[in-house]
Amino acid sequence: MNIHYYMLCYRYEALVASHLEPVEFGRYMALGTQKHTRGNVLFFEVNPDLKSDYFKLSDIQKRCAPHEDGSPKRSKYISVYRVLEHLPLSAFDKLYLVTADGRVMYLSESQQPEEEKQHDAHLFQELCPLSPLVASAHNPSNFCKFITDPANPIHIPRIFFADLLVDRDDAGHLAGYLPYADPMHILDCLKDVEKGLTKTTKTVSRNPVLHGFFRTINRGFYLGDRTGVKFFRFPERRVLEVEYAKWWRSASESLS
Amino acid sequence: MTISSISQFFRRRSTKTAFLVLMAVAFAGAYFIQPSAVIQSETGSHSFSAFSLFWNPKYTEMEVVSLLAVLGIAVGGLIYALLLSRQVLAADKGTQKMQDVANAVRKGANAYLAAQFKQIGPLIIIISALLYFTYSGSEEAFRWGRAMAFLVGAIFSWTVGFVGMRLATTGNLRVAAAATRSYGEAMQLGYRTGTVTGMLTDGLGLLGGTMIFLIFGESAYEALLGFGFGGTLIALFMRVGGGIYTKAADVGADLVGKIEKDIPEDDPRNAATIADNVGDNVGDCAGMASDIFESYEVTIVAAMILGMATFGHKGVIFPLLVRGIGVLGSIISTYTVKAGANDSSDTALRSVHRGFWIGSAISVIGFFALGFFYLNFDATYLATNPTALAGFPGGDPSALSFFQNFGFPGLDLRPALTCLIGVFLAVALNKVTSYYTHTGHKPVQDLAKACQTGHATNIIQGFALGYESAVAAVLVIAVSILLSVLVYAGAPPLFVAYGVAMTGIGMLTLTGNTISMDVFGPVADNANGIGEMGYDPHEMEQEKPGNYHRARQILADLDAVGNTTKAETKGIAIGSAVIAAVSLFSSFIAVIAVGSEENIHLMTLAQYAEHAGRLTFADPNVFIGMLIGGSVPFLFSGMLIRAVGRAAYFIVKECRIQFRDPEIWAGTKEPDYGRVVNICTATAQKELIGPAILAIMTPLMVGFLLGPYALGGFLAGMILVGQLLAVFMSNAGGAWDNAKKMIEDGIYGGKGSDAHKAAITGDTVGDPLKDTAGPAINPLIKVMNMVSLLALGLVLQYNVISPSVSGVVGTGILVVVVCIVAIAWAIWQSGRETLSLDEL
Repeated sequence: MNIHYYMLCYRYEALVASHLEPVEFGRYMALGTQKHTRGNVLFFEVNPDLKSDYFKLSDIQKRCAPHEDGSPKRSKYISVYRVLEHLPLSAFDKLYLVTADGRVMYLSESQQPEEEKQHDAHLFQELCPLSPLVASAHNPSNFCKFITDPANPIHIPRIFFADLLVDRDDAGHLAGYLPYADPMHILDCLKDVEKGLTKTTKTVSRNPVLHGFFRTINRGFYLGDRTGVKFFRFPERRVLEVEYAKWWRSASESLS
Repeated sequence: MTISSISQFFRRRSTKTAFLVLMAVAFAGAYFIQPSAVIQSETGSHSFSAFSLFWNPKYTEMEVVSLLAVLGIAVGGLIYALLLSRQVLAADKGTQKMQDVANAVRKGANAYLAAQFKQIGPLIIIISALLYFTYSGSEEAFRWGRAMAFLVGAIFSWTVGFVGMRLATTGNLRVAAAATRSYGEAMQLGYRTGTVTGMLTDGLGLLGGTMIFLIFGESAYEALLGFGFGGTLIALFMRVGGGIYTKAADVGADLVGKIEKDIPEDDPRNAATIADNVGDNVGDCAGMASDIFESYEVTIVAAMILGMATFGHKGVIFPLLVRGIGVLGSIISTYTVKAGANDSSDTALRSVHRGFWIGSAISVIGFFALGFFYLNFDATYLATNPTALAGFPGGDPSALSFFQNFGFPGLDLRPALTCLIGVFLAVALNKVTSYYTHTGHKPVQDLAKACQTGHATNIIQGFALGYESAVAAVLVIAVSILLSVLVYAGAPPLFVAYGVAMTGIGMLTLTGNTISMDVFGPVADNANGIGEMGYDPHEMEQEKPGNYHRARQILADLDAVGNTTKAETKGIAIGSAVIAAVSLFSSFIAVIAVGSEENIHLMTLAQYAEHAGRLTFADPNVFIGMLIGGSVPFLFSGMLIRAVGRAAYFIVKECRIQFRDPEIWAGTKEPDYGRVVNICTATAQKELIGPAILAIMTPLMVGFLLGPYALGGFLAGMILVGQLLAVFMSNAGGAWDNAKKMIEDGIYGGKGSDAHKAAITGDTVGDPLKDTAGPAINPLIKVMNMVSLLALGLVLQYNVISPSVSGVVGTGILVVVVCIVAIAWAIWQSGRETLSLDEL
């Protein structure tokens, strides 16, 4: 049996070895077997030829051996802390999005979209290594560089985040279909960073509960640091409804 | 013999032909063969002779021909239903996958009705026998007539529910298939599926009432009561059983699927998904169709009984003719409901409403034209029908005011005017229901807004909305009754009661349209479910790019239209129950006045006034009766809501067990849908026994224990409280449901937001209110009325307080004890916890 490496990046950070193929692994992580654990899972498929001095991989064949009855090992945790920063950016392959009831969809790396005007405010849901909701005057690429800049007193080595929708209605309020908790506060934060008087990035919520998360994705997911950014484009609504009908229904109707 | 073989038998062309030939021969024979029987004895008591009106000189040839024409219209309505059903059945059935889903729903629905038939069938036979043996009059033909009419009423009511549901479970597949081609085609198929049930209700209701009158003539009272009671009792079973089934399945499916497992509605992995879809049909098609059918029957029964007691046979024939016009109006107007290939929800809804308006216009023009030709009261007529004299100022028809006869002396257009009030009442109740439950109006918008501040504020606001809507509906009904009173200003109360009964006739003139609108709801809902489970997105997109998205949008739009039309008709169902009950109340007083139903034709207005005057709250027994009557709808609702909770528990348990199978959870193995369907079926059958006992035994207990006047108080209290509670529950539940839909459509955060979670709480609370307890109060009101009327002769003779027969107090006490024991058992059953529940 082949060993796959997966990096779980929401809601916790871990590098896991498994005999399961990505879709099976995603379903297993969302649902479990007997315990029926539940919740959205986001993970990357990691290059199986991964070599690392940081992670103990030398004896992985031994540690991740099939069970005595020949059944595959579903998950063998290799590391659960500071994983994101210690994997080379090139080792990250497809991003898998798993809904609470185990529907799996993957996104491949794609070309970054053209950036919009510099002064538009953005809303980013950081997913790994921390998970605050932030409003920022930076576009996604610049935000990635800004937050991983060692010159910045508050920085992290690498970040994985999603660019969220901030559509507004005629009255300037956040559009009604966006399921954010406390939309007025979000709006205030967006206005603050738009003005750019004091700061360009502001924490909206330190540890938000993700309501209808997949319905709020704007362009997609970003993974990067000072050296580069990988972009994973989220499909358009129409494509989701047809090509990924089951996944989208589950993702858009989920209560969690 | 299985249900399907019975169904096959009735669907055979030879069976239908034989039936029609038999009917034709019977009527031709009755018309041409003049019997030698003496119609009236020297004492004035009737000696019954079947089909006597064919040779009774009181009836003109035109009247006889008109009645036969009404019979023809009733058959015409049934033929129209047959043609439409063929149209529906001939439509494209979609892919095999879609058919598999639809078959599962259809099998579940058939299994439910088969199980119910097995349980109710013997009970109906027993009650028929009871009605035969407890008949307190002396005429043998009436004894048979009452029992047989009960049987026929029950069979008709069951047929309406059964066929309606069968068609709905067939039509939903065709609608889902048509949605892949055109909006208009899908909409038309869905609406016509509903129209089949509507026309069946119209046709069978009119056929039953007319046949009874043709057979029994002026002595139709007994048989009509039996007919009405048969339909009412079946409707109660259908409504209660269907209500418990549908909400137990719905709540069970949602609790495990949406809340515990966080999976979407209609997800094929959820074992309760098929039961949920079956429930929509069982509750909204079979239950609602039977419910409206019984209203249709009971209003015609009330109008015919009161018509005979007031205006004589013209008072009986006129409502039948009006119903005939209504059926014609429904046939024409339902056929006009159409939508274009690329229409939207708004245009489709407009088309449905336009159909209703067209039908209303045809009916109004029709019954005024009919009034001009038929409602002439000349000296000859008044000489043979002297009871009518009291209805005119000084006994002179030409003394009526202008608005009562439009300036034509001898003409009396009051019955037509009260029919018009009935049409307005139906429209007004539609509007009131729509105002309080539709997303386009402020109350539901405010309710959705309240969800932003949490679960409790949503519930609080929903209660307030429900209470207000109950008042609005009661005011509308009160105003319509007041208008009927004004139309009959100066006439004795019995004539006013006839006016109210005619308001009920007018209100249900467009029963065909009303049921079409109602049944369209579950058909569209089920079609949406079939689309969800049965469409293949890739295949559809390959055939025609964008097709899948478009078809799903069409089904979602149709579902929205169906929700609106279904909600609107609920107001009519409740309103008709109240109007019918108020009319029957006058019959109730009339029977008290003359001592037995057999002598109702001998009643004088002085007698009526005297006994109506004794129904006063100054009499403590009457007041006690009213208090008990007012409490029954609460107890009944409590029993039903508990039953839903209990049944839902079993479903939750079963779904949890099935979800433990990793293959089912992974979507690689189909769940055992049949097990959940069986649980729903068995539980619903079991749970309906208690409420049914309460509905039948309570009026008997009050009547035999406290006497006939207390029974009158009981009915008054029950009608008032029942109406208020039913409207409150239906509208609050409907509003919570639509507030949730508004949020799901993308306001206040949409699906998954905190507001959505609060809205789901409101919807879950409202579900058993709007779909189980609320609608079941309609048949409850009518069953209690019918039981009271049917038992009144015995109550007068054997009640404990003042029996008219001396030395029989023991009989009354025995009945009371039996009733109390039965009611106590029903209440105990309702509060019990099963062994499985104890495990919690």
